[in-house]
Amino acid sequence: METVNLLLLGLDQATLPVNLLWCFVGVLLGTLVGVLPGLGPAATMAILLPFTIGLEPVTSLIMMAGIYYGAQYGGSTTAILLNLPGEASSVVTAIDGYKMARNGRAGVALSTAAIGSFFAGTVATLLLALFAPSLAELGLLFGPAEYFSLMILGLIASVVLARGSLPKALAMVFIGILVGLIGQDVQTAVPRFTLGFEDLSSGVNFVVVAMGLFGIGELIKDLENPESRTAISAPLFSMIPSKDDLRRMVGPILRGTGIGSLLGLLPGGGALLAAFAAYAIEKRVSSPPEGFGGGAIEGVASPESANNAGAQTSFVPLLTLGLPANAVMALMFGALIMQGIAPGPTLISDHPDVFWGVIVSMWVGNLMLLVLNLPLIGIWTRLLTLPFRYLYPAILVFCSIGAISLGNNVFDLWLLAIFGLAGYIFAKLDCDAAPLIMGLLLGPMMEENFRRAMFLSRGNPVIFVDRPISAVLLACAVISLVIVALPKISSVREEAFQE
Amino acid sequence: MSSRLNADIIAGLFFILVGTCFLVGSFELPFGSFRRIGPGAFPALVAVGLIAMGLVVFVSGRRSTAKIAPAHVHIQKVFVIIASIIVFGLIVRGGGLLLAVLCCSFIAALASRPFEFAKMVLYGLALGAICSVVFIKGLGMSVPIVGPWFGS
Repeated sequence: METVNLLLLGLDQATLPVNLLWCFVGVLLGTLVGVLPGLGPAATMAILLPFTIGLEPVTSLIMMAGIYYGAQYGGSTTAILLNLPGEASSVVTAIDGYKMARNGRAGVALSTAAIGSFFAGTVATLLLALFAPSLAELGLLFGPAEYFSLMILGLIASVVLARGSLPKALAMVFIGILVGLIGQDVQTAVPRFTLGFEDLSSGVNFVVVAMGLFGIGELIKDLENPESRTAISAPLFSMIPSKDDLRRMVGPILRGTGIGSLLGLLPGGGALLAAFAAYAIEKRVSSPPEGFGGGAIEGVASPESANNAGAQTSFVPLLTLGLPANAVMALMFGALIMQGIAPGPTLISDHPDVFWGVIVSMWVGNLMLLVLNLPLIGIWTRLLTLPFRYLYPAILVFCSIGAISLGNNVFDLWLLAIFGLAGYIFAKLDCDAAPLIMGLLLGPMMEENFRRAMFLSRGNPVIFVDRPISAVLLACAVISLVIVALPKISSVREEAFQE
Repeated sequence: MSSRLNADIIAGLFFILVGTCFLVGSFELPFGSFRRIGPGAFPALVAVGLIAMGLVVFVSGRRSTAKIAPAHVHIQKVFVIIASIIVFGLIVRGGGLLLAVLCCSFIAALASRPFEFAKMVLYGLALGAICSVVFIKGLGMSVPIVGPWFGS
C-alpha cells in the first residue's frame, strides 16, 4: 500500500507541467541525436548533460532519463530502417528488423519495437518501485569496506563487458582512476598531479572527459569514413501489426522483459547484455516460419523489450547503492552529483521526490516515445539523409558550449580538446573508453573508502574479507574475472599450438 | 627487429608511459602508514597496476603473429577538429559567442569535402545566432554574444 502512495507521489512529480515539458524535450533530443549514426546513448547524454545543470534536480534527472531512452529508441529506428544500429544494444535488432523492412514490413517492425519497449518499460518500472527500497535498506548496512568491495565489483564488471582484451580494459580502468585522483586530496588538502595548474585543483570535470572521449572521439572517427552510409531507407508501409503479428509478439515480449529486467540489475549489466541474451534465448524457444535472420517478428520483439527493461532496471544499483552499472549510468551518476545529490542508500529516504519522480517519469517517458515518436518516424528518417558534413560542426559547437557552460571556465575547453584527442587515439588502438569513465567516477570514492576502512581496522587489510558482505562482493568480482579470463587463456594457448 | 608496430604494442607503451608519469608524481606525496594512508599510496598502487597491464599488452602485441595493417590515420582531420575546439576557447571570452561559434564550425568544416566557403560562413552565422538565442537568452549562459574585442 505504501508503495502505491509513493508511486502517486512520484506521479505528482512526473506530471508537473515543467517536468513533462523537459521529459518531452529530453525524449525528443535523445531520439534526434540517437538516430544520427555514430553517436550512441552515452555520447548523446555526455553532449547534452551540461545543458541540464541549470534545471531543478528532479527535472534535470527526468530530462537525462528521457534523453537516454530517446537515444535508445533512436538507435533501434536506424537499426530497423537502415541496418545501422545507432548503438550496440540494437545490433541484434538490426538482424531481423532490417530484414522485415526489406520485406516491406518496416512499419510493423517499428511498432513492434515500440510496443515491446513500452510493455517492458512498464513492468521494469513496477519492479523498480517494488524492490529498490529494500535493496537500499541493505545498502544502509554498508560500511567503508563494503563500499570499497562494491566498487571493485562494479569496475571488474565494466572490464568484463568491455570490448577488446581484458588487460587493455583493466589498464583503461586504471587510467580512469588516476585521472579521477587529479586535484586536491580530500583528506589532507594536498594538490595531486596538478602540474601546478590552479584550474586542476578541483579535479578534472567528469563531463568534459565523457564528452571528449565519447563525443569528439567518435566524431573524428566517423569523419574518417565519410558518407559510408548511403543506405536508402525502406518505405514504411503500414504501421499496424496484424492479428497474427500481435499473437506472435506476446511470448517474445514477455520473455524479453523477464530476461532484461533480471540482467539489468547486475553490475555491469544493462541494455546491451539484455538484448543479446534475449535474442539468443528467443532463438532456442521459438521457431518462426521465416526463421531467425529472415525477418522474424520475434527477433525484433524480444531484444527490443529486453534492452528497454534492462535499461530501466539498471537504475536500481545506481539509485539504491550508488553504484553505476555501466557508462550510461555513470553519466546519470555525474548528473546527480552535479545537482548536489549523493547517489546511495539514503537517496530514497532523503529525496523521495527525486527517486519516485524519476521512476514514474520513466514510465511517462516511455509513453511519450510510443505516442509521439511513431508519428514522427518520417521526420527521423529524413534527418538521416542529411549529410554528415553539415551535422558535425554543430555537434562540435554544442560540445564546446557545453564544456564552457559547466564551470564558466575556458580551461575546460583545453581539457575537452585533450580528451577528444585521447578518445580518438583509444578508438584507433582498439581500447574501449567505457571502463575509463567508470574508473574516473569510482576511483576517488574507492580511495576514500579504502583509506577509511584501513583506518577503522587499524591498518589491517583483512577487514575486506572479514566482513561477510564485503567478502561476497569481492568473491563475485574475482569469479567473474576468472570466468572471462579462462577462455582467453585457452584461446591464447590454441594460437600458440598452431604455430 | 622485424616486428611491425601494431595497436597492442603502441597501447602497451602508452599505458607504461602514463603509469610511469603518475608513479613518479606520487613519489612526491607522503605515503603515510597502513593505518593512516597518505595521499600518495593509492595512486602509486594504481600506477603500478597500470604499468603491469601495459607490459602485458605490450608483450602480447610483440607475440601476436597476426599482421595488423597499419591503421590509416588522417592527421589533418584530427588536427582540424581539435583546432576548432581550441579556437572556440581562444575567441569566446573576447570575441563573444557568435564569432566563436562561426569560427569553430567554419574550421571544423575544413575537415570534410566538398568544402563550400560561402555556405559554411552562412551556416556558421546561423548556428551562432541560434546558439546565442537558446543558450544566452534562453538558458542564461554568462558569455557575451558580441565580446569586448568589438568595444561593446
